[in-house]
Amino acid sequence: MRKAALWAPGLALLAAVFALPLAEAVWTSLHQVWLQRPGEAPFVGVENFALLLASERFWAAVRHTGLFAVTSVALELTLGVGLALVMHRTRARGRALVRGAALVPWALPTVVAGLLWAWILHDRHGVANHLLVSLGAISTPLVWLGEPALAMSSIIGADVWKTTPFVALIALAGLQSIDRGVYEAGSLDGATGWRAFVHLTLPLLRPALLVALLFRTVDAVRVFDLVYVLTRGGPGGSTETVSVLTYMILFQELDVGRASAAGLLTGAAAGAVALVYLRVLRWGGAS
Amino acid sequence: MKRLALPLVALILCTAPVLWQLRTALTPTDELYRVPQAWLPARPTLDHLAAVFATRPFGRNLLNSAIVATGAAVLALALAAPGAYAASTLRLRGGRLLLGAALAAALVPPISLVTPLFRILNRLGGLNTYAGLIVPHAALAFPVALWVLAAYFRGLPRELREAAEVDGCSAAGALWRVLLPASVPGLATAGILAFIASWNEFLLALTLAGADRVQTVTVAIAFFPGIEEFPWGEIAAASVIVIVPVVVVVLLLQRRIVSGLTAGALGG
Repeated sequence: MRKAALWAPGLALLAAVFALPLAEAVWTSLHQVWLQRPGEAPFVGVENFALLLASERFWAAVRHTGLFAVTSVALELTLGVGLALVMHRTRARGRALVRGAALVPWALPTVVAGLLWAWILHDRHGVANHLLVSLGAISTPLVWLGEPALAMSSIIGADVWKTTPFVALIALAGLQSIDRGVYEAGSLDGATGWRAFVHLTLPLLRPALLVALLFRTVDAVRVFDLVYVLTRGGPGGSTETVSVLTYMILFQELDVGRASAAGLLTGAAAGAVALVYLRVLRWGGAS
Repeated sequence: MKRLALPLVALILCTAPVLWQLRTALTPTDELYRVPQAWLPARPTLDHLAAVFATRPFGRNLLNSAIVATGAAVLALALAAPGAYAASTLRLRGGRLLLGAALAAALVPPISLVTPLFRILNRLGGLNTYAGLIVPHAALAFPVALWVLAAYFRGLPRELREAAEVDGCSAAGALWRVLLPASVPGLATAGILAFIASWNEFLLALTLAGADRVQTVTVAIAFFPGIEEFPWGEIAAASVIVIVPVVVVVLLLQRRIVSGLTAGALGG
């Protein structure tokens, strides 16, 4: 009983910051609540959800979020495993150097990383256009953040730069835990080079990669900072994600009820993604 | 040579954008807008760094971030250490419950919390206060702190706990007098990860503590751009100031942080 004093305070913190607000959000999402009129809150049932699900803007945000999540996570996973292999093969001092460098993008505040890329990608004064033009890759400077497809690519690129190292560090830990004997046994069966990577390394990395995937996907579904700093959801709403849309509904339209509903739908989407991964993880762990 | 090519590319890709920001911070404004841009400033200047402090409350923002991140890290550690002890060493049912709750919490998008936390804090008068941001930040950092510490406690020799029991320590006494003194590296890792998470956080800082008095650096930098013009030099200077302490700590303690990250990711 007295031992409950060890874990109860932590549970109380999580209840106060997660459970209680989520319960409050469920209540608000079923009422019409305006930020500037806190007194009145008539019950409206599922109208807030219905309004969202009927709006083209919401589904556009869902598409942008999905595109961002799938593309960025796929790139981060591929490049992350590549970077991990590079680090794994580099000898001790070089490895520490590359690992230290890889921690730099990870340690940056996302807002700072976003502004850093906004400056590099600046259409007139950015070094990206300058480099690409002088290398002959493009003939005229691109308006990276001003055209829908380019803007989304820029946001994905900035995210890949910032979070590939996280995937790589987890994959590296996975690589380092693989017994060398596995490869020796494999080489007797003719599994070397690429074959060894596909048939030995990847299956053994699977648990570590699934965990990295879980956290990266959930993070990607809730992307906010990069979009806010780089495009504010523009141009023309073409990079507006569900988190950014929720923020706009709350602080521009001041519609607390609908913002709560949008936040809950985002949470449900993240939860669904997580459940699928946890299923696969548990199943993979049992096999 | 060929063996070195790929690590070198990785090294450059990770650091060059940050070094470019450092170069921007030291380049006078007229040179920033010159085309084509030179790799290094012809007349390096500290004007942007000075301007950040002279024309903006950036010193105050740094202090706010330091207060909030320290508070959040201390609170997260204070609650995660006994929780991790209950979950790992003692294997209490409540401890397991806490691990499960932490995993669920780690998956909740902060945007789902923004609207209700804003309303709750508004009712309690906690908007634009340190406590109003410290508590949510501590909760966001709590799961990783819990996992890191639980993994660390699991790695400690059994004899430590048994010695505590022989000495007749209570559970809390064993934690305080035996386990924690032996866990300074684990506590440091968890504390640094919590500090960085809070120092870097933007969405809750923006929505719950946007007022000047308590505004943190991430929010301040995001609002550097005016209506007309982006002060790129000052943005770069402020970014460098925010980046340097974090990067120095991370590089000094990189082994710990990497092991903490992977324990946080794989131990949960």
